[in-house]
Amino acid sequence: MLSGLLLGTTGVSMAQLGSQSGGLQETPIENSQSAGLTELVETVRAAGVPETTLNRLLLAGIEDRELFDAMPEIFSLLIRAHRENLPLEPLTSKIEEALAKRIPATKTIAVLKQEIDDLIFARRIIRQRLHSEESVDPGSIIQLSEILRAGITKEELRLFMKNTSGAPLSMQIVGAEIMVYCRQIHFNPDIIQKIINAGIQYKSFTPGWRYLAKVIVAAKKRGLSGEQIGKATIDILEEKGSLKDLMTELGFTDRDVRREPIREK
Amino acid sequence: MKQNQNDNDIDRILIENIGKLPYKDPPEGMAETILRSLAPKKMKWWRRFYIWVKTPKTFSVSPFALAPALVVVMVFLTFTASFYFKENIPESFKQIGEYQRNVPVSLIFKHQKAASVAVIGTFNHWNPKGYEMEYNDALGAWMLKFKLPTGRHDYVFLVDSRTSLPDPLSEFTRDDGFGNLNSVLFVKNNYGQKI
Repeated sequence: MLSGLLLGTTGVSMAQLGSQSGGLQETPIENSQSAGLTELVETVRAAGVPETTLNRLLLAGIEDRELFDAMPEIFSLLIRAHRENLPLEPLTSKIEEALAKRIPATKTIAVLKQEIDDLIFARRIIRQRLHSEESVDPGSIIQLSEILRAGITKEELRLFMKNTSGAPLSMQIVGAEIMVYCRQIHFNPDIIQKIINAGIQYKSFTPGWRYLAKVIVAAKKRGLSGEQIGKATIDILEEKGSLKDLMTELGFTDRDVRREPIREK
Repeated sequence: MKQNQNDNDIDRILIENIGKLPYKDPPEGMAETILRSLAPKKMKWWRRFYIWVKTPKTFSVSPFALAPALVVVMVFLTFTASFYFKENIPESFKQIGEYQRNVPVSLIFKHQKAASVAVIGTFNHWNPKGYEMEYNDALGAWMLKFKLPTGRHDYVFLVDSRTSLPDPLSEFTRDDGFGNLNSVLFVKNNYGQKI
């Protein structure tokens, strides 16, 4: 029966799952819950939650009573996201991450709620940006919501999108990514601002530019100053050049930006 | 019958009277004027082109003669397309293209006390199976070489199947929401580098 639920061919009762986890006592309430759980499993399966994620979650629930009790709420959150036409991939990924890291179920639920809030926020600002209530590309929603976990507040992101609304959405997202990751490496904020302004003004932030922060790290390791890197970057952006052009300008050869071999400390 | 007879009479009278008229030389240039008016008028170029385009044509070309021309056209189109799409490739195409490219990546993690270390991340659905690191005695560190699609990936090291730790060598992180950090790996294929 357990395999039936896992593979989606039949239902499994709470007591049956309970007995797998060490003989938990079945109660009338749990019986009614199990029927609901089966329905929820079927609903999330129909919503498009990957079978592997579902099975992994159900199997983990056998080992972890707290997780098992939290499953209806986890499934309800997935169903809510599906009904709100939000992309499910960030949520299923978070569930898998939580399982791998053995995160307590209560914490997982809180993070899933936060994730849904972030996705709704990202979709709202994209809709505002596009002046349309029509469906928004899920990829853009995911990209924008992911930026929120890299060191930028919602208010900052909202302002950024507002201030850069002259550029295409994809370039705004690249710009926001550059900003947060350049902040992480403590790159001069004034230079970051100038780079963002140039990329947006000249509409040169093609997707390749999202790796700029990594190139800056490599360039600084080569001894180039922030001013030198900033000037070269802005010049290339003004010429609508690519990140490859910048790397050539900074004097990189094929191997220079590879991950460095480990050094003895 | 009578009508025909009348017509013949009129014609005869006209011919006789014309014959009685005095002879007079034609005005100078009359012949040229008449001939010029008879010559076909030259059409405008676009009109001629329109007629030429509208007129069905028949070409006879042997495949052998056509082959070099096709090669030239293909080379020209390939060159033009590659030049244009270098930067202007549609986002969706670019994402598909990027995702299809797998780039070799090496991860190194120093942890002397660990009994086992695996890499988990967005690229393997946080599943350590198949991503177990091997301890390299020479380096004194755990190592794993594998291939990743280009893009940005979150990951951590899973120590002893229990403890997740971010990569101390990674410059970039993201809050995992659970109170810890994930390392961020940028994988880029263009220019032959991994960054």
